[in-house]
Amino acid sequence: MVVSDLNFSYTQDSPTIIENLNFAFPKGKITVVTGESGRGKSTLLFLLGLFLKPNSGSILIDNQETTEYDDSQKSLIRSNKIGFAFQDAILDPYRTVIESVLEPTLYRVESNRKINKEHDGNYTYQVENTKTISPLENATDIVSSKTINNSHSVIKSYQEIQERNFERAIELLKRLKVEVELNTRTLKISGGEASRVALARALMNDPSIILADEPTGNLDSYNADIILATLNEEASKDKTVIIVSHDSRVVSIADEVLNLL
Amino acid sequence: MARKLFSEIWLVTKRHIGATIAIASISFLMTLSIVLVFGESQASIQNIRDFMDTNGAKTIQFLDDSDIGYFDQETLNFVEAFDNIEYSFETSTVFDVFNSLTKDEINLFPAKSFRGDISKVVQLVAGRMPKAGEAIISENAAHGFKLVGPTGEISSSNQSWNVVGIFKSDEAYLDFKNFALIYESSTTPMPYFYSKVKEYNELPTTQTLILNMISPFGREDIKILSKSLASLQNTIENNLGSFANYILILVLFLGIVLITVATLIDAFLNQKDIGRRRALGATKIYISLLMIFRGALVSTVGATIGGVVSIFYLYFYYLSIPINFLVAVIIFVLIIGSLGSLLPSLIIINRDPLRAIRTP
Repeated sequence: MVVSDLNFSYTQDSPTIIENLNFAFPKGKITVVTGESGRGKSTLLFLLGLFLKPNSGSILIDNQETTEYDDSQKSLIRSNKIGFAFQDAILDPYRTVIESVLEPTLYRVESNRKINKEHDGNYTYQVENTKTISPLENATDIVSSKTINNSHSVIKSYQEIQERNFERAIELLKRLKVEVELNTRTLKISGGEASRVALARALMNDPSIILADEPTGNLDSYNADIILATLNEEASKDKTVIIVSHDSRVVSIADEVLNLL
Repeated sequence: MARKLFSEIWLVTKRHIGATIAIASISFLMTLSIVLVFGESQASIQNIRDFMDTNGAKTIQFLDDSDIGYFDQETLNFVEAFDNIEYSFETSTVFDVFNSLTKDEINLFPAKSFRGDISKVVQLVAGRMPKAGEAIISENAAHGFKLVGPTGEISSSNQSWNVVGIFKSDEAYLDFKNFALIYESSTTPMPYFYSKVKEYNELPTTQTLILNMISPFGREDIKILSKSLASLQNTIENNLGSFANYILILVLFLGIVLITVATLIDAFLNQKDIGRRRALGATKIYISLLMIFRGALVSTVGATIGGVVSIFYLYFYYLSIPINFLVAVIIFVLIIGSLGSLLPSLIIINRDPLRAIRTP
């Protein structure tokens, strides 16, 4: 992820918050954004998350200029490539822990099922960023197989995707040491657990970019350590991890530090 | 995809329970208002139709105002050949007669001459139906003439007729109860005739048809005199219909406004939820559809309950509502629910997601 000549102010009359920012956020490393309050740390994170449109400059994700993307393109990037961990978790109190972690999969529509025609004439469904999960039966006659074989396979594939999503959610919760009942409403879990569930949710779609806004703010060392270790692990998987924080514990694990003055 | 969306709509419906109750209640009241107003107006129209039918509103009276004399027995036969004419009969002008047996001038009484099937209009209670040159008198007239049976004679200054029967008139022709009816020869020209159609809604077209066929060259001389009841009925029906339409427009306007306000308040109260979804990858269209489908679903539930309640209400008043009409109302309310959710969804999805997320 690269930003160049980035400028941003909330309105035309308000002061410029981000001014001529040029920075390459490296893959496989943790970049910590620091700076005094009001310097635009969170604003930068929201710009990188494609929530805000810069006044000028560019934001390249996988070498693609994103600032002129329309809403559906930005949403697709947010659901497939970006994992966002908010400052105060922002979990839906009406969902259970497992439903919260699985929530990003609800919006991952376009990439869920990708139909490929193999060279041997077979069709396969593929989940983006994961392995092919459901080879279809032979379909020599495409037209006739469309109604029978494919519809059956869609259901099969959908169930498999659901199962796979569930397995991944469980795995993430284990990694983040969330030990509450899966069907517990998020309203009933502690602040530390909520932060870990929120990080699990951010990682659910296996994003290549992870944006975290004060992930350890108001957390005890036990919870902070788990979160930082997880972010470190993600960075080691060649992912771009960008954290906004004042916390010295976070700065200590940073590979790069971007200080906004 | 559909299952996921429906599951999310259900979650939103449960989660935003205040808006759900508000939209459902508005839809319930809208359905109740529409069904009851239409039910009552339809029932009132039916009552008026029944009353009018009993009182002769289906009868057309044609008056020959020309000097030529268009109406004769042939005309009457011709008109009666119409499929939708129940019966026709003619009457002539009224003239005074007296009981020639008593020769009592004090018992002067009005009489109408008639031609055609008068048995459809009056019921014989004694004696027989008259032939040409004979008369029947009403029970009232019989009492006035002090007749003890269906016999006697009535006279004018230069003619006399034997009385052969006593009748009582149908409810629609109560004015005959004060008349003697004299059966005329078919050669006598008649100034006007009545035709009764079978169905009320065929009245206007039948009027036009008869008018066109019996008087191709002198239509301006033929006047239709009995349309007053029919036009009164039309006026009342139109007024009731207009009243129902005004109520419908009012309900439509209020429904959209109230659902829009309820959804908008709900959307602003829950913008953090919407911001979170956007951050996790939901498109604007997805959020918008979620709100619109929720509005449609909850409106349908509210409308269905309203429909069932109104059916029971009308049932207690012995009224019924066509099921097609009820389905149409529910679909109508569903559309209102969707439209009422459209504007708030468009407003909320275009809010700054950052502000939405940071809203406490």
